[in-house]
Amino acid sequence: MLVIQSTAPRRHGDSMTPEHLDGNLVAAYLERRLGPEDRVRVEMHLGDCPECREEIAAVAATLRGILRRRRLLAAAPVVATAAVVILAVGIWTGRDRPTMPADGLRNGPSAEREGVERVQAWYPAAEATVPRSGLRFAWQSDSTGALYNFTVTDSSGLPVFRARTSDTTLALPDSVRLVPGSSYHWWVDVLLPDGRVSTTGLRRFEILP
Amino acid sequence: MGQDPPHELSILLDGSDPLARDRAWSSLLSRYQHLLLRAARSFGGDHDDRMDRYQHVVESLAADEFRRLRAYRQKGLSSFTAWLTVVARRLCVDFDRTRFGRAGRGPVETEETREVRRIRRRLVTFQSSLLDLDQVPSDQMEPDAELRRTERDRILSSVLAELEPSDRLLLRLRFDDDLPIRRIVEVMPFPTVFHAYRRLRAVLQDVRRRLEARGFEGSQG
Repeated sequence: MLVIQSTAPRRHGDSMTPEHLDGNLVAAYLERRLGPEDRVRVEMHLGDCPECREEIAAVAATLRGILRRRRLLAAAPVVATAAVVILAVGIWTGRDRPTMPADGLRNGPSAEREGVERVQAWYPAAEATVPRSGLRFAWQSDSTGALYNFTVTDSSGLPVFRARTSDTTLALPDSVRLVPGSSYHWWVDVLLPDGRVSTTGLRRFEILP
Repeated sequence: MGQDPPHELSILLDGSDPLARDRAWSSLLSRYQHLLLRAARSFGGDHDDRMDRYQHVVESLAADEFRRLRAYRQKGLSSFTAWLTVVARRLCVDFDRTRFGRAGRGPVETEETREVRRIRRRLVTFQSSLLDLDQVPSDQMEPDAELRRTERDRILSSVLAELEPSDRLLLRLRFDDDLPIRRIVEVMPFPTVFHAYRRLRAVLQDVRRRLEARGFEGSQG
């Protein structure tokens, strides 16, 4: 059982309040990580201590903001990929429209249309588990003069590494630490010389434990 | 923010290569910069005040060979993010207290204004949900109003003391601290706001029954 720990006396108006909740307890209570007995002790203290209540409500509000931001960041790659795809489709449609024949059928091979929207991510494959050492990413070449924006994020969507290259393979520098057993995402956005864009889409991989 | 605790922590605390440790510290700060700045901002002031607080938090975390971070790793009960949020806020309070002599752990009012606010809220919000205010005599009409109010507060306090700690906390947060239910569920372990509403209603009914059992006139049925 945990106890409510004494801290250095804190000023509370004119009086001194010798005991407040230990910071570990505040955090653990908010994350519902305390056992029933400790939870009751924390709630008893909170019921009588306006200062600790004020703190815990403020911490909860701060955490809410942080978690909201984290969720947004996690969703950012997906949203960005979707935006790129929509943009690519829009550009492609706009480009083709003037040459559209009277019967409404579009010209050009379907492979080209598919290529505009998406390039193949070759390695690591989606959901693959790979060793960190010697890890090299590879994707399909789109066209001469294309630039590739390469991104790796951790599982929460925070970028771990970004680079722009004209090559279609890339080895992560040794300084980029990928944690064994953790999962990551990678993708490549392609900028073509004529202004078109395409993407590999999001690929998840895991580092061998 | 990825792994929790962050992988930099073990490099920082266990590593022997000073360069690697420096890098880990920089990386850790970069990863949690948003959290630390948010904590520093939450206490108000201008840009310089916030950055001074941020600087104080960073220096304090690094002090004594990262004593606080070591303590977290040794006996941390929560995620690193939650722990760091609490610690950062407390360091901001310490900083403001040293600098401005403020009391409390947040951007608080004076004790006097807080007490006035608390009393007003209790009377207006909490007791109005229990009492028919028309039956509460005014100070001018009843010479013993003060006595009756004292007696009423005493009974109410004793009833509150009988409640389960979680129910008492719920009432405190709602009526003393004036937190809306949606914020209470961030603090207390209610699955949804509806559970919190239902519990609050049940607790208020319970308080009414207890007050009536003590012959407290004016409580609503």
